[in-house]
Amino acid sequence: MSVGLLFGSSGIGPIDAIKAIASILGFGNSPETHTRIILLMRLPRMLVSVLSGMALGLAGALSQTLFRNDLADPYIAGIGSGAIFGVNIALLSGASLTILGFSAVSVFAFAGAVLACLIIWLLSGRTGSTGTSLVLAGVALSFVFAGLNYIIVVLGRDILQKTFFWSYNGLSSSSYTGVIFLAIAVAISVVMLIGIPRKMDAYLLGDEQATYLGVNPVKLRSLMFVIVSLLTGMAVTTAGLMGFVGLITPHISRRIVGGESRYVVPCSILLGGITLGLADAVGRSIMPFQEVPASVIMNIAGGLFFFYLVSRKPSW
Amino acid sequence: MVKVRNLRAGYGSKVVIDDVSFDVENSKLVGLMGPNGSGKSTIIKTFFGIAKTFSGSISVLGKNTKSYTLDELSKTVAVQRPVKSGTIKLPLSAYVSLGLTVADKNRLDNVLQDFDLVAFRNTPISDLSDGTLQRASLAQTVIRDPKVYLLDEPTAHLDLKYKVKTFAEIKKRLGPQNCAVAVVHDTSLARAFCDWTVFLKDGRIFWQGEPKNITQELLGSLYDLEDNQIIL
Repeated sequence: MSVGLLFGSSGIGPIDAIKAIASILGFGNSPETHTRIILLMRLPRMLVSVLSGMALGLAGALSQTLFRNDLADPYIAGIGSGAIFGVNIALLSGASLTILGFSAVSVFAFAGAVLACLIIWLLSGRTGSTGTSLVLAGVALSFVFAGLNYIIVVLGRDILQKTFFWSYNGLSSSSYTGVIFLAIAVAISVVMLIGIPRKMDAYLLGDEQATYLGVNPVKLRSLMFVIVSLLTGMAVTTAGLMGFVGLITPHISRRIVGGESRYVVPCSILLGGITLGLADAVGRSIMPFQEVPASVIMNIAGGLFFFYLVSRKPSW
Repeated sequence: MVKVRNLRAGYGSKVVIDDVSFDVENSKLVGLMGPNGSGKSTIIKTFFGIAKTFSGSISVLGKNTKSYTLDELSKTVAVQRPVKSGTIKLPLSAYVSLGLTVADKNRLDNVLQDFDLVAFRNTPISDLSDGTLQRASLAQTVIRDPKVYLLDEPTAHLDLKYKVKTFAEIKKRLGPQNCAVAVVHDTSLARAFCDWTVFLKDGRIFWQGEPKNITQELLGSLYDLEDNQIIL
């Protein structure tokens, strides 16, 4: 992960970076610009990419359990398009409020993500539906948001470009505020999940079987909805749209540690952090003076890797 | 130990069983029999409120099931119903251990041995055959050491050896504090292992009595079959 500190597009090579880190720790001297770039740009960015990766890995493992579907990812409840909807609204209205150090765009993105999750959660409570029909509801909601997004983009000029930039380059505006909020969200989620993995395993067998095993499926579903929306909302707000991390990490985790939630959950958190941290580090160093967004690296490299895994052994 | 009284239950507003009453005494195994769709599974589902009670009651250890918390009820009553393992990658040992509230390696090993599952302990349940999955679900049920066993077609996918072995394993566990209800379709199994049989038809009690008193005429009128179509 520390790779993220050593490489970057800003013209400080790994050796200069090591010197700068050494001087920050009190050894030797290094130009102030170098230490500033490390401390104020690369460090928070590295932390945000790792923490948002952890958040998405965890949210992915929970989503696949919550929807009882291996193809589920944190964006399945319409969270991605909900967040973009929020961003579009913020840009269209020109809102300029700042809450707790977050810009209007970030706040609205979080609100949009949580709104999407809330709608699907309310639906599941109302109809008692689970599994596939819940996934379909999420897909349907995504389409509704996508339609609304199109209308907004047509209404307001420049919005498309800004939204596009926001979606892909979320990490380039990383700050310590983001680091703190992400760290809190991940920590709270982990604490809320203590003792829950066994219940998740029972839940996977279906609502009826879970009930016989003493697990209230409705309560557990609500808890997972809350955590998924908190984590994904926070990740979207601080890092933009990062597809694929949430889908792929639980799969790879199950391959490594088997199917028990008590192993899959921590492994997904760890893998999510490593993957996204690495993707960002690679994206920043692959081309001189030009950044490739981590999400793009994730999509291409992650997609190919996943494809390789799936083609190697058809069933898992 | 279990008393079902004038039970009327179903789903939504649909009544599936009506005016059903029977008792299950300690150390006894009661067989629930009857045609498909006659309401056998619904009775089992009513214990945990999966099917809704419209009137009447079920009491377990002298207490109405509705007065139990889910936690208490799941520690007293163990339900075994058909499982769909789909794509669930849970290893068999973890699946069986879901019946335990605290990890207990000895109990797990013993139960896996009783149901011939040792060789499959690390196999994901999605990869098990129907018969093995069924034995796993029975293992998950007995590992809980419940007061009341509710078994819905516990031997549906099992060969003759495991059918007999399963009922023997259940009977072995019925001490003075335990009892069991099992949905059975096989009259010879019922005769061999059940202490009492309750026949349902169209959601109502059709007949109940000792299995040795099951006659060809009774089965004929229960399943709408001619005498020569039944081999008892």
